[in-house]
Amino acid sequence: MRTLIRYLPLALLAAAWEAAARLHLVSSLALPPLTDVIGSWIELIRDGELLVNGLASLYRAAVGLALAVVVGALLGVMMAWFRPANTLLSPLVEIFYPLPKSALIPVTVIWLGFGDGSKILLIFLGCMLPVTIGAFNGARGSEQVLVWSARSMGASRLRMLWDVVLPSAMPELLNGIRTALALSFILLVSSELIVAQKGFGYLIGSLGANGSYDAMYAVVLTVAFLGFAADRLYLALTRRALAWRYDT
Amino acid sequence: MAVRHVTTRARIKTWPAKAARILPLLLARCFSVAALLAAWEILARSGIFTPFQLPPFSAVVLRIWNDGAAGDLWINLALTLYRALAAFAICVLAGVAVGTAMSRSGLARWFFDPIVSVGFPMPKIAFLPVVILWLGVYDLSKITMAVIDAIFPVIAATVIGIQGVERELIWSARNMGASERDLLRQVVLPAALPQIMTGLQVALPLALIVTVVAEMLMGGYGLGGAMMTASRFANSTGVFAGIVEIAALGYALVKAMSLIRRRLLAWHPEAHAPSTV
Amino acid sequence: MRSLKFALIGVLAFGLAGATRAAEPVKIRMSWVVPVANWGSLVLEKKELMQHLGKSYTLETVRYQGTPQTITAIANNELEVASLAYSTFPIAIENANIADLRVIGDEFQDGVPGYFTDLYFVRKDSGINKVEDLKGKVVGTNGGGSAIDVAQRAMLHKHGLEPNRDYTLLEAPLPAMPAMLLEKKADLVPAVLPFAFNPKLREEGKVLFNQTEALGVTQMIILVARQSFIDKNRAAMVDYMEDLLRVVHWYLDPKNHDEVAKIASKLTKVPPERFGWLFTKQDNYRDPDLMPNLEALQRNVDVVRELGFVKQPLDVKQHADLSLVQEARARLEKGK
Repeated sequence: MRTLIRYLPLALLAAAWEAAARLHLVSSLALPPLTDVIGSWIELIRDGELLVNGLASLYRAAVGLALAVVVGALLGVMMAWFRPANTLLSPLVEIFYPLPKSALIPVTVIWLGFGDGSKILLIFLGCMLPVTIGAFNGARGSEQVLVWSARSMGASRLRMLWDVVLPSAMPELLNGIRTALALSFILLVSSELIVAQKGFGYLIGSLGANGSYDAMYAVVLTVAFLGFAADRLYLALTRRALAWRYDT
Repeated sequence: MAVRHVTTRARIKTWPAKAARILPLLLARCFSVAALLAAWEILARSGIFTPFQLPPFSAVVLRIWNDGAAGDLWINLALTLYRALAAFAICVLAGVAVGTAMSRSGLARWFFDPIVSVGFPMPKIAFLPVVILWLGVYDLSKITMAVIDAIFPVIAATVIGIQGVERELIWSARNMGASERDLLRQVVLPAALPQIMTGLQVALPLALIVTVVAEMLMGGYGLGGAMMTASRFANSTGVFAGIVEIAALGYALVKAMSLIRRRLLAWHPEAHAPSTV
Repeated sequence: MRSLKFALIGVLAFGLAGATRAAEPVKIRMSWVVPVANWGSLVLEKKELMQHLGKSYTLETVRYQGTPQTITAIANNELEVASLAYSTFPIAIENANIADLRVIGDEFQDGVPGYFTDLYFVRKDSGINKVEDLKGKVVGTNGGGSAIDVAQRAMLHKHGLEPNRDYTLLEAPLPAMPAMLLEKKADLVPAVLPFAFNPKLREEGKVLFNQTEALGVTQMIILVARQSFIDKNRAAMVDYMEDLLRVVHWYLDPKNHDEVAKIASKLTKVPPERFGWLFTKQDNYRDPDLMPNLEALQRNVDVVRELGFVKQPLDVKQHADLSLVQEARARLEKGK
């Protein structure tokens, strides 16, 4: 019952969608009623298409996101704490991240072709930004007092990074990863819209090109709900990790 | 994102001394970008690629120059900038408002929390036909597309930022007789500002990206529209000119954002140069 | 980190597998954009008819978002057989410098007598009764330089109307066109299959002109490949064409219609009963032997140039290699 009340807003939204389509507030040619979408969703589940395409997408998103978290966090901390890294790398990061990743296609195809590699690269580039910014801002915000006292106690550079800088960067970093997690779902679709043989984006693109909007929105909602589930899981995990900070 | 390299001590120094300190740094900063551009030019001229696959950087610069002289560049630039900034402004106001409401009121939290979690990862670009039907293909629909993508990081950051404000701070302010409104304006929001700014730093480039993508999909004027037209006619120089223009615009926006951050957070530990490890 | 390593190993293994395979059958990648409309989306659904598949060649069908990405892929040798519109073919040759691009087959033609031709709709109550009435109106297009866009511009050009000066172009996806018209966002919209059958569009809209009036017979979509690839892998390409012909014959055979509708339904998630028109006379003409109409194509390409989309004249015959499809056809004849 509690969960029911908790997710009631989504039900309200769903009802609004259904009403908008049924009352012709928006042409049902562009936005089919939600009940039709759900019907298509059941079909897509039954013939296994969602599963096959979903697995291909999630694999790419997971690899891209994992790369973004590792590289992004390293880059962010390094840019905050090693001046040469900041000097050399930050202009490149600053130039590439406000670029729409789909605009980079002519560049990435030269280098990686049109296979999995280019899609993972696009997801990686898009997800890296919030992680890097989070790690950078967090690491720069670490309390000088802590750093000084750690240094006076003779902590080595690496130890200090690990024991002082990283923990204090953690809340911002974790929030950055949360943003990246959400973006990875959007990016997996947009990277597969361009060129693909399989995946959620492939389904959305090919169904959209044919005007099968009910099935297309069924895939869109599936991606949204997978993102939702991933977000909830992530929040539960980080709440544990951050317990020391808020519960004191 | 940029680190302030000028320490407090340097700031007191006279101008020439300051310039002498900054100049090599500036040069060093330019080095990586210059190396990238040089590599591009050399690779393009090596004959490994056709001019369609990779036009030389010099040809791209020439094209941008011509567009600038003809005036097209400025119209497109101004339009894209206007759309992205308008979307960003809406994201700041509405995002912080919703985020604050979610932290302060149980009702708002109940309503927005699941919607934000579902809405954030949703590939909203699929709703393009609906947005076009409702709002047309002009500024309004492009700004709307950018808002519904870029507002989520702001909301999330505001919620997390306010959550992270230490309770002792709130308690002591309350003890000193601060009203709820004062508390919010003078204690909670400033204390949450670093996190909120981080959210804004993510939202601004996102707003630009989505604006450009929307322009690419809906056509018309704007950097994205010009790039899409070039792309349709296999005009590679035009496509790469678009990439360079958008990168330059994005770089300027991102830089401006980190300047604002530094101004607003002058009191925060991060504003001091870190004692490099 | 661990998973990363595994991913890396996976990528390496994949690469190695690819390298060893290269010594065996020729890898052919074929593009498609719209399901069912492009042969690329349909061929592998009948792979049991492809006798040489996996022997002399392997086939991968890949979906592309649109023409720009397709041209990029051909230029980077990421794609061997592509579907291009008559309007984008000269663009690929002139602007993308793919000088050795060749027409190797037909995908479909518009306005062949007795078959479907694209229709251009206005609202019944709009007061627009002739093309001239479109002055000052909003015209829907799926993007400048597309096959539909060129046809539409050509028609309006014939009646003295020029874009931006006399009418506004509004971009929207083709499936959204009926809604754009009925919701009064646009005053003229193109309707291709299957959207031209939309009952609401038929009820509230009327046809202002059709594509045949604009361009005559149009060689809408062609199959293309690069001469360099054909020369290097001629035997495999003929095998592939032979198999492709078998598949096309099967799809176009009226007695397979029910099964065809089922396949189309599987690809599009639209109920099979809505595909009654598919590959019949209600559909665009598809040549059963994949023979393109080069004479129509030449006319169409000339219009593209007249409208200013390309500068150089293009002799279509110089950029066609029909020997593959002819050889494949002869082999099928002999086999009978």
